[in-house]
Amino acid sequence: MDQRLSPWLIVAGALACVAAYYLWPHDEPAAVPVPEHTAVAAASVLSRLAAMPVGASTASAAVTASEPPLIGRNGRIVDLGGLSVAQYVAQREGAARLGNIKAAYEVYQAESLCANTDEPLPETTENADREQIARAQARQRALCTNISPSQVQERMRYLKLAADAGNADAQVDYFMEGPGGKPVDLAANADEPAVKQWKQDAIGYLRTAGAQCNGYALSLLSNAYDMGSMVERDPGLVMAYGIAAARARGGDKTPEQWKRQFGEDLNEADAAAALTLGAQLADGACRSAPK
Amino acid sequence: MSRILALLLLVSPFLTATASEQSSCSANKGAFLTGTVTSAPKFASGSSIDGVETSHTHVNLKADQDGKTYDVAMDNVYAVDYVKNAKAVPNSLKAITVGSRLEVCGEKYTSGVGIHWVHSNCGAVPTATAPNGWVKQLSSSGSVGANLERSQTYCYLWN
Repeated sequence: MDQRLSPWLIVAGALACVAAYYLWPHDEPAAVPVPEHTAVAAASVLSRLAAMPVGASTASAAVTASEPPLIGRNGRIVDLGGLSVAQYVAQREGAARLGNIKAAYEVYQAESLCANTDEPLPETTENADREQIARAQARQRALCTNISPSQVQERMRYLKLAADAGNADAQVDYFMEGPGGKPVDLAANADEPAVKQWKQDAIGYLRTAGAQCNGYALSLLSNAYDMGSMVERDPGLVMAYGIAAARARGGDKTPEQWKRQFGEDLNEADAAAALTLGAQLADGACRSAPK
Repeated sequence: MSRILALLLLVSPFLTATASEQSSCSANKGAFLTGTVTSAPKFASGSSIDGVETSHTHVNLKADQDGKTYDVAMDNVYAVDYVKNAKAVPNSLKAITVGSRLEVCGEKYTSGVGIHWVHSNCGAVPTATAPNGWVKQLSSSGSVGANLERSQTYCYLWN
């Protein structure tokens, strides 16, 4: 064989393998009841690592030594690609103002980094932890240089734009941000028109995102019906949305397992109704969801 | 005599409630403690699983059962108002104040004096090392509050 041809044959072979992998039909993972011992074993190890007694060596090890990721006010990790927030926003703001939804959501995400840089530091079990949180906050503040308070406020307009356009992540973030993108005591300010409007919009957005098979939105709806601060408490909907959320993520359990997980406050008939509703919510949302 | 009877009548609902809770905790394979909170809630960072930080909130609890002070480690992700990746104690756990009464069901530390896994076990069959636990506030009248560690939102991290 001509030795000069062999590298080309290797490349062609590799490409054929990649093509075969993608063209070969792959079965979707079947939804089977979770083997409980597996879930518990995994949870057991992780929980032990995370909750060791204060001062134990593993507790310190749990705090990442490397640069922590940047976290926006919505709890999402934001990657600025090495830019400052101002530089990142400048690259996208023109498109965002012209109604480009992707750009609008990215501008929101970046500016959300600047919305929690002045949060009071928490009382921590270890001083080193508090110092690390302070360092991360200072790093985030530095990245927010040249971002004005009005831009931080304006992020909510971009967020709403993306949420109204059907971006499920934005719809979840609208809920996570709270009224006006600020921490607000919902119970103490229940009669505020802005709070009332936010509750109505946020629940609506979660339902819309849930209808797109967004498991996170469905589980937040379950929590909302549990807390009762946004909507009236409803244990049946806690269970139904909880089941729908788990099924949206590909999980499935026996009716007994679902009842044990969610149905503590329900009688048999109500639990059965919630079980049916949960399956209907998941089937309706996830069958029609865009792949 | 009548005073003793009156006292018994007064405390009997509380004793009954506690006994029932203790028996429920045993059925859920947990260790049961009641006591008085002696330190305000404090935040502890944690590792990250799939981009979700598994931080904790700690309080000290002087137990009625043995008089020891336990470090109670509560997983923030199980609080219904946990904000993903927030470096803060969730409001529902912040409401635990020094002097308040608490009831916890979980697994005692194998080293040191403390208790963790004081949260739901996501519907799995409970075991001694993975009980179906809880944290509940006790009112002065003896009524038992809802489990503060009941959210199932992040169970997918372990399932």
